[in-house]
Amino acid sequence: MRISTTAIESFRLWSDPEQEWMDEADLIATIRGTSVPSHGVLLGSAFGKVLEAPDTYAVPGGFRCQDFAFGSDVVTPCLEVIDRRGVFEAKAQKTYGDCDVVARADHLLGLHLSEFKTTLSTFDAQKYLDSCQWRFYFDIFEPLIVTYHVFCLSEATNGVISLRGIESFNLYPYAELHEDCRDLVARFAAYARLRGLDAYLQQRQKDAA
Amino acid sequence: MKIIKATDAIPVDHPVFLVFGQPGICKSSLGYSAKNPLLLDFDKGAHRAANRRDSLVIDTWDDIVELMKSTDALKGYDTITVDTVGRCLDVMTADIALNDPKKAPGGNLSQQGWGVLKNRFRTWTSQLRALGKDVLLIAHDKEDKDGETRIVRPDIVGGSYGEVMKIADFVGYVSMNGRDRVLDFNPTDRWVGKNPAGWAPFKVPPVEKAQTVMAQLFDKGREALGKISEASAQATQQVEDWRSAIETYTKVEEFNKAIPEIKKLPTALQPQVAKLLMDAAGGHEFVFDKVKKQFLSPVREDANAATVLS
Repeated sequence: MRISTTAIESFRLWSDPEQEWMDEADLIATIRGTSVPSHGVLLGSAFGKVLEAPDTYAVPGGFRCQDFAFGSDVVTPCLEVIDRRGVFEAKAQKTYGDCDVVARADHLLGLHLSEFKTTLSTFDAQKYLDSCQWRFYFDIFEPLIVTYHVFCLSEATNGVISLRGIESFNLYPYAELHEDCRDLVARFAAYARLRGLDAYLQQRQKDAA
Repeated sequence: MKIIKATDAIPVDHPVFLVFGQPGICKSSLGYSAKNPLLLDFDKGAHRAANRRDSLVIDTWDDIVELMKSTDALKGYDTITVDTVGRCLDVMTADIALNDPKKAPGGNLSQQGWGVLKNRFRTWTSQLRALGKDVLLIAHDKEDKDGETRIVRPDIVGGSYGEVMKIADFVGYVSMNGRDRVLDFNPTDRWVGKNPAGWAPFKVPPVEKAQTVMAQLFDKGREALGKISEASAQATQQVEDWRSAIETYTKVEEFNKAIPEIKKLPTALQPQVAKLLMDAAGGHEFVFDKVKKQFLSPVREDANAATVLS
């Protein structure tokens, strides 16, 4: 099976017995890659593209990508936390049993991996600390530090986007990290088989080979 | 003035440690085992510590303001221990409520108030580090239900929990394992942690023999963070060397010759150099054949025309 870290993180969130906001149909759509991205996801994706290649999206007074416009006052402070020597959107994969887990790093510089997030909500460090995403980054890319840069944005009703702040923090590997990743992949694989998603994920593996 | 080159390691001179655990497990005593410590006694429990050294009882944030104004007062101390950081934030909150009541109506912080609290705490710890002090934050533990499991976290209120977890380079949980006190920096499914040095859990010696535990941890932590920075700088240089080499490639053979060499690189470098190679190859309109695992030259229409004509 070929699985993305995004699908595994969705599975982890859905598996939390206390969560009520995610339906199983949403999870299955994410696994199949058919989910309709939310407004926040689209905004984050557009903002990420601007951070990666600001010159491509520069317009007078700011930046425009897809349906979103970002002022220079929003983008410039965010660009300042990114070392332009780094490599953007590098991909890697690792095999866990019969599953290939694929990951894409927003930014890699030496042994330092950075992940860029945008949020329109209040910054909640715990949400990122609990995530399995950074654990898989450590296991797959083998950096020594993962830094989350969370760009806290707000969007007015007229669509004007402003920057509320940038929250950055470092994470490090730990002793049982690989086992945690391996166990989560095993739980995901068991779930995929139970729901008959394995054939689809196996085909993806064949296509990628 | 010392300019640090882009590919040089940046040393972390003054890491921030957060140690949390149950009340009565001798966290304050651990605080006194740092190098030349001054313990800021927000909890007013320092008198119970076994190996007590210099302490300052904090009643209000004005005590901290006074301390920070008087540069002489902090001379001679290498470590500032905040005991506890949860109570420190309470004191800071009370100060915001007193001096800026709009941000804490009824004593409870508004959303803006939380922002002020986080900024003030961040600024204060930065000031301490800028003064050349190591910073040790001590916190009580708190058990949270996380699904079916219970997870122990530092007892720090609301939005400031994230701020403390952000600024702490090392986060360790001290707990009893039988009759032993054990300090573990690894996050587990039972408690949170941060462990840049990759330390295994270890027994904390009895209090009378634990006079330099935190001093040693700070030194080892500094060394570990320095090594991370150094290793990353070296890796960055390696990628830069590859970038320079790839920029000179013009022939498809050169790109293909690089593939086996890239596969020999350490795991962390492979995806970076592979991406540089793919991007550069794309710039030359070379296409990567997934089956052959090789770059191919584009078939040019003018070349086909020449063949037909000949």
